[in-house]
Amino acid sequence: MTVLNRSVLVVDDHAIIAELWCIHMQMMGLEVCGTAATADEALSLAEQHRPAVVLMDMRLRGEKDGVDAALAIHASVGSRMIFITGSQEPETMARIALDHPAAILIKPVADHLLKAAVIEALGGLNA
Amino acid sequence: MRGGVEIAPEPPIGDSVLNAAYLAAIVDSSDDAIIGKDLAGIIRSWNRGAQRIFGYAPEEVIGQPVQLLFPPDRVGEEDMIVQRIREGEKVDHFETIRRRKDGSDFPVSVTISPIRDAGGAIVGASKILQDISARHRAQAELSRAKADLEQLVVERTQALAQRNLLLSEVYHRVKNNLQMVDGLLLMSIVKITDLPARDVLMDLRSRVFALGLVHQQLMGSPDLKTFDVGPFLSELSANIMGGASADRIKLKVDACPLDVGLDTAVPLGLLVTELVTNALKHAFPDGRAGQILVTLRVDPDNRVLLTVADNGIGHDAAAPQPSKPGTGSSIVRKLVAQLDGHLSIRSDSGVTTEIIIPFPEPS
Repeated sequence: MTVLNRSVLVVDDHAIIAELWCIHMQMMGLEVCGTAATADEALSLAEQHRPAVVLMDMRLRGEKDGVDAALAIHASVGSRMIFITGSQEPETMARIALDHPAAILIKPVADHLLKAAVIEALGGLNA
Repeated sequence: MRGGVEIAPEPPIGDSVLNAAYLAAIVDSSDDAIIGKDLAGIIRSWNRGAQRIFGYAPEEVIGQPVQLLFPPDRVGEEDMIVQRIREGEKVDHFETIRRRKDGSDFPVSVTISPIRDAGGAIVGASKILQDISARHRAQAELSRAKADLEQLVVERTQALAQRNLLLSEVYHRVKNNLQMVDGLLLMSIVKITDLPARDVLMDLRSRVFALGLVHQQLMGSPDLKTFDVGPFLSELSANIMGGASADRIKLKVDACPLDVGLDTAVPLGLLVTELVTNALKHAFPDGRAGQILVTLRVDPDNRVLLTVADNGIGHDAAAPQPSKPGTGSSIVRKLVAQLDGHLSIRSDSGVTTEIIIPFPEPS
């Protein structure tokens, strides 16, 4: 597997919330390689840019959810996943656990928790 | 047999003719069918109860095989009964089905005893049959009622699951919308260069966060209605501290277990947000170190005491108070009033704000 870029892919089907995560990444001095609203878009962007970290929303537009996207990206690119979910129901958590996430953040996400999770995920990669 | 025997006068002892007539009267007055038969299964006696229950007159059945009274699928029972009678055994409260003259079947409880002659040899059997249709009807009724009740429980459980699903979805959407509001705020904030203006919007973000966190806690609670206030206040305060001053200013939240619903959690969350934000901004100027302590207690009078205390510079030494109260203190006063609470502020070594509110009744 080739080296990953020190960049972040943002996956969220709400444009304003996606923008929120983008601003946070930029304030941390990180490059956002793109934003995606569907699982397929997310996989295609991830393969193209090879980001170190993906911020992944659970509910996405279309049939596939965040776990589908995460499993596909994990298999083909190997990015670390930070799940951002609105629901903390056991079924959701069990599905997220399938992907061995770097972190799970529950909305509303406190700024300091998001930063800590991203730093941790980047560090774990030795990027 | 029923109670008739007990109210009858004592039989005249030693008079066998009267004695036989007396026994015949008991048999004849019984509500139950009492039937005598010989070992070949031929009916030999037929009381009034038998006539009433089966619909046959004595002359129609005496001399006939007892199978006349059996539905075809029960005829085999007679062999089992005869076998036991021959062995001198009694068949007690055997429940089965018998057939009336009109062809209708009905449930009976049968007790069959051997009849012996003077020498003790078994010569026949007496059958006492009780019509248990009423009992069966009552049992069927009971089963139906039980089934109805079970169905009702199933329906209620489904309705509750539906309600929970809907409520969860509503909380989810409220949270998502609040997260979007946060996005809109942050998009404005990064465009603003004026620091006080940025500060105003950052404070607004904390308040929106408090509202979102209430819904997150509700969504994670088993009944979707109430949650323990302690972890909520800890997470809320940690967000306000935000790591920026976390090294020099320590935060401690000490809350007793208290379940709160939306109506209490929202004002409490906003109050703690304002008071902690205020302490963080004003109590520790010029890089001072210190501590902010948030406590929540229920006092013996069943009132809730919320205290936010800092060990900073206090009011007097702080920057001159603005002539007009800020948004924060206005929010605090309005929410304390909404909760029917009482507010007091002490400033000695640091500022202590104490809010006393009535115990929140479950809504």
